Amino acid sequence: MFSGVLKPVMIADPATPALEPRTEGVSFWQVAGRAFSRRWLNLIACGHIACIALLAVFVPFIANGHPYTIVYPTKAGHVRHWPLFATLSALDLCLLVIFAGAVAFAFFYRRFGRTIVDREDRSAARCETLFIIMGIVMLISGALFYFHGSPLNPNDYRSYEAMIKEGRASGALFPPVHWSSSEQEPLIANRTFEFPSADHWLGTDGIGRDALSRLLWSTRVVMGIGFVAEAIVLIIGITIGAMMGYFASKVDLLGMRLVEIFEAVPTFILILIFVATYGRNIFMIMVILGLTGWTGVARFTRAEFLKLRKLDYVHAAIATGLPLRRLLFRHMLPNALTPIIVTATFGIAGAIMSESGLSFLGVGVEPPTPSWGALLNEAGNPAETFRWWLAIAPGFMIFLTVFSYNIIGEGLRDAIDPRTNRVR
Amino acid sequence: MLTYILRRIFLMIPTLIGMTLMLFMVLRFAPGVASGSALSSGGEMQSSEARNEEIRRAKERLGMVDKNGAAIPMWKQYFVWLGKTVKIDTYSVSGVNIPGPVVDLGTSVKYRKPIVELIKERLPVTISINIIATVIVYMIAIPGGMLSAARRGATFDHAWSFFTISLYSLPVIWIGSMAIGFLANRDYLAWFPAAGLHVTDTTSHTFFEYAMDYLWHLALPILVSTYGGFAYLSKQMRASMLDNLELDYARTARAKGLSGFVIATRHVFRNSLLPLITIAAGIIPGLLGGSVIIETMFSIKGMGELTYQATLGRDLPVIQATGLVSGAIVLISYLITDICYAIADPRVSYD
Amino acid sequence: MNNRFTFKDAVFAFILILVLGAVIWASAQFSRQEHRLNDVRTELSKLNVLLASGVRTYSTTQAEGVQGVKPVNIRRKNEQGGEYVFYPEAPTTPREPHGFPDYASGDWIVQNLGSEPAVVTPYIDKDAYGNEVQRPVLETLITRNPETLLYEPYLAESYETFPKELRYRFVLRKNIWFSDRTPITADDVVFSFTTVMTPGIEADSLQSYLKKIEYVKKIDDRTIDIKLHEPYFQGLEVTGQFFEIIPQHLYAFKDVKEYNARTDHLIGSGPYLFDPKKWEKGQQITLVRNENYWGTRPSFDRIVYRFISNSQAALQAFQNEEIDGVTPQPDQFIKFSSDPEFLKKFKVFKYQRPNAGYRYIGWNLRKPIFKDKITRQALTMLIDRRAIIHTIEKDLSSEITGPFSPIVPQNDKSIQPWPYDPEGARKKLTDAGWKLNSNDVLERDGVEFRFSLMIPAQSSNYEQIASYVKEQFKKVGIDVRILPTEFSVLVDKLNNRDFDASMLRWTGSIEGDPYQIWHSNSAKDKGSNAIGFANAEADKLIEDARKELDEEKRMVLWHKFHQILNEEQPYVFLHTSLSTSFLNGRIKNAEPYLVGVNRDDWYVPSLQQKYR
Repeated sequence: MFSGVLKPVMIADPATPALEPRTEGVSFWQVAGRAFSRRWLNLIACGHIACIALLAVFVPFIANGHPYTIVYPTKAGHVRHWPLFATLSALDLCLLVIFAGAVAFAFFYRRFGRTIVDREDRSAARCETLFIIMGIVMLISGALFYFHGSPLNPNDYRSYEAMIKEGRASGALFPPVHWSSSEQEPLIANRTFEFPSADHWLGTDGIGRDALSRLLWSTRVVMGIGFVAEAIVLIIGITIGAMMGYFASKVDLLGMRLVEIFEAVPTFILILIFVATYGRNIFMIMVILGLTGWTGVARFTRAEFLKLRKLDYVHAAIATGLPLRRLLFRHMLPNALTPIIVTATFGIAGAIMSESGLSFLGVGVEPPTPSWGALLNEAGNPAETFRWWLAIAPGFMIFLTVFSYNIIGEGLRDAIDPRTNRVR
Repeated sequence: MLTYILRRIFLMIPTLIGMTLMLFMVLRFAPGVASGSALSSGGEMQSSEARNEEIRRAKERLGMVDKNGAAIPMWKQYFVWLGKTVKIDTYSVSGVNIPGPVVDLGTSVKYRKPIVELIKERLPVTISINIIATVIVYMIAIPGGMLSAARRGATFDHAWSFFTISLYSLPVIWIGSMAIGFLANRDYLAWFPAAGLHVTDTTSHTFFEYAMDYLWHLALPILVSTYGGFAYLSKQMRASMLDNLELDYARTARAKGLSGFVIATRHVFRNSLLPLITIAAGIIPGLLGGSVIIETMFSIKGMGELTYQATLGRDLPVIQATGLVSGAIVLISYLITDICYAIADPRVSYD
Repeated sequence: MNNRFTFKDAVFAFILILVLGAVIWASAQFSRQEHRLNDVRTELSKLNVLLASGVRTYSTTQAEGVQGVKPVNIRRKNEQGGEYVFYPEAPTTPREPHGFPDYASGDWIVQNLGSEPAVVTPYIDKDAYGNEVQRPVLETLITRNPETLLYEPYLAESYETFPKELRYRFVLRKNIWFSDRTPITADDVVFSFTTVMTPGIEADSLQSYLKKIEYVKKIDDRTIDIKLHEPYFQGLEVTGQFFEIIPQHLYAFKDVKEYNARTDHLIGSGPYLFDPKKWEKGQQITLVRNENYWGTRPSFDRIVYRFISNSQAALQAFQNEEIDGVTPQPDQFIKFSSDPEFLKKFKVFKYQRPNAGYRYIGWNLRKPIFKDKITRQALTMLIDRRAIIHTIEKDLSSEITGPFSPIVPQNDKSIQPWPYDPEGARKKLTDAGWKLNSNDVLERDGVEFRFSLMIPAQSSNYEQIASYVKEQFKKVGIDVRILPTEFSVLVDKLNNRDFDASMLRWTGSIEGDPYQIWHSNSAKDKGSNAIGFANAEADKLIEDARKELDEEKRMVLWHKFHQILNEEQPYVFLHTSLSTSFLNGRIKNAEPYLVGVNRDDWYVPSLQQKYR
């Protein structure tokens, strides 16, 4: 979003005095990007996050009880149905639309890089497309949620299987994992806590649901928590931090008290208090993680702004009588962005950890929404028998995801500021 | 110097007040009746008459309604609560009565004990675990950071950083479950106890047995609460060593022909420790917060477990108190480290 | 080196801190041991004083009666149709252990409470744990025989009921006294009652029962009359068993606050003594045998209660024989009850208590979707309750058809449970006017069949059943949203009738009073009839049965009531849980009765005794 207005960075950031702004093609971010991509570990981490994100979008096509296609014999002849596509929920479709929007933006971004020569124009065009695409995406999503309703899908893998066996259907093509996250084995069969088998590749949970399917569907919670919570963190943190840094003196003093208040009560305890008193659906948890985690971002923004406000270009900007909002967010913020992005990356990792901790304690997302923390809880609860096969996968997934974010944050920090000596 | 310290203490007051206000607001605006877990026992319910009376009484005790059941305005509730929490009482010191503040955190709805007493029981447990954990973290992270700095860019540096970050990213809930599941389970290896701080009967233990038993019980919880701390600390140590190694005095020492080891341990080390003082306070909130999961997992009756149980049973006074106490601990430790830092580093300006 | 702080110093500082810590810890520990030694010393000196004063110690039973002439128990009807019961002998348990050849008194029994009780003071105890600690210390006028489930005089030697006057008369035994040897008189009984009923005493649930009592009157030193306001089928229980008798001279209080404030004031007439000093906070409560006990001398020297909340740790402690009894989790029970190694050393019990309570799903009948009984019957038929019992409950529950335990006479055994029959349910739903719409959701009169199911938060068991129900309902086109709700919010929502459906558990009693849950009066205000069940016939039956003092006639009424509920299906009655327990193998004579295991029976042969 800020790619269009990054020019002052090169002049202003005291940490990178060596960069030459006029040289076309070697912007600060490109240098940082190169430094970042030089380490293969960073790339792997990015790859992992991308995989998780893709999974979160496309999981209905990977783990679903409905077949892609199935043929029902009727009097009029064989009719081919597409149940999986017919039963996508509004959220599934919405995520697909967002994904399409992202792809479109990426396409235009690259295209403008080739077609538009002037930097100013190019950034403007990119910004414009971004806003247009976001608008379209939001419109379509809104329409989807409003008109799509919420159909129930009474069939599941077992019922299709029965139909095929009885000859009432044929030619079914199922997704690789043919269980939805909520489908249970018949309760009377007592197929609970099963060891991995050909049927259930990671075994089953306490009421006979497929663990692998639940593992895959959990990516949605993880990505959602990471992004939404962090977005809230950024909005609150940057606003308060920018105010504190820009106005300094009394506002700063007051703001720092607020930061201290939120920092003093240990975050997890604060989150627990919030969650236990205000309920536990996933949006609530996102908001709560956002409300409790903004202090780090605010501190960094403040520190950067305190530095920036003494610089000449800011004085110049103030002198031109720009409105405050524009001054803060268009002129100062881009220069303060680097440490904020690093903190945000670590923040996402922290949010994921917190969410899994909450789910593990049984105060996380509401059932039957699958979540890695809840799966992990099921592996060792009741504690007498430890079902390691249920514990290893979700734990490892949390680890990998958190690790990736941390590696990315670390890599970004190194890339932006090779000396890495920021002390809080 | 003195003015600096006074200023810091003075600035703590609004923070404390703000904290009380926040905790108060969060809990009073919460939906549902304010009552302890007296109402519930595993989803079983009492008869309604008794239940409703109990709710009314709980509300009255919390100062939410007066004796006739009429609601008290929110701001009034806050001041009443604050006034109850911090009272001015007189202490008799060698015959002279001196006024001083008394902290009365109220009574737990669930445990029906003064909360001060509850915290007196629980806090030492949490603090002792955290102190042991912190000492271990420092003992491993500092040499690690030093070595990384000394071998900057070498394999060890990369490997150590990779290693500590992976440890940092390992979820406590995973390692904890696996540790309990594999190392404290009769199906696999029952090397460690799965819960508690002691075997149930310690009366006949000698001191040595008691100590060994304690350590044996604490082994897993401490393992779980330490491994995540290395990354941050050794990163800081490394950075601050590197900073100092580039300063003039280190260069001079090197020019004198001193070996790298001597420079590192005798010259740079002391100065590099300074930032770590600040961090000591910085990790306390994390440790206190982390103790919620660890103590719940290992059934250790500490502050974390108390908070968790209180939030589950909606024991409002206890939630408020634990929030306040942990907040106060954090604030005080910030204060202490700031003062230590100011004393240790003469370069700090006191404005 | 003036003031330079070097690496060496840092190492040194670490070591210093460690040593310092060790010293502080060690001193704390030594003071702990010192403390214990002091305890032992004071204990010894007390014993010496006792011995010097010449207290008799009893060998076996204290009440031996007159040789040859065995006093006869009387149980007969009186002219008012009431009952006169007279048990001249000191009460004993049905499976008296004293006669066994290897009987020996001594040893301790160490039991686990899931959690430390908050309060053990009589009446104001808040949880089952406090109640458990009180049980060996406090006694009541009458008690239920665990085997026959009949009431027998306990502190009273006789009781008589006068149904026409709503009056109950109790006559205390002659030689009974509190643990400090003060005799128990009628004054103490009156005092106990007035204490409970003092406004402001935090004994709400007890008060709501005892409200039915009009007066408790002292006739003479040993005779007490208790009168009810209205006829009530549980009158004897309320008057004789609901409040324990506490000594007036020790509990007299001026201010209610004073009484409420004491959490560890527990003195009674029972076979064991509670001493606040023996309550080690966070560790254990030790009850010591009351050597002054008026009745049969109990077997164990001490009862120790430990508080291990973690079930795994509790079981481990049990297997290490640190505790003698434990209530296992379902998984633990499954795992160990079939383990031959385990069975060699320990005893395993599984039994059904009549007062176990039951779990249900209640439909808010005010909502149009749950209005008609055909729909509700269909909903019941969609849930495979046997499968829930088998798979989720691990066969540690049993099926019920109504609000009564299947083993009590109140339950109508002729009622067959609704079958699990999804096809039949579909038909019923169609009959009730539900049709699938374009969303694949059932619809009637423009209302889609969607509702939220409220369950208590933090209970994986509830979550599992709810997830199962959701999945089952989805298959016929009913959309369920599971709403795990924090308990106090849940109570609030029930009180405000702000819910669609809720899954909860009711506590039970041997003969339950359905008024609070099922009478239409309880649907008003904030009563317990949260679902708003109102059925004139059922109301009439409840009212009549409550007044009917003749057991057989009453049971007929209860059975009719049960049939109505079964037909109406305002709840899906899921199951009642079975009780399980593990007990150390050295304890003998420990078979469970209908109502549970009874510690009074147990003993340990002298060779196997563990504690002295």
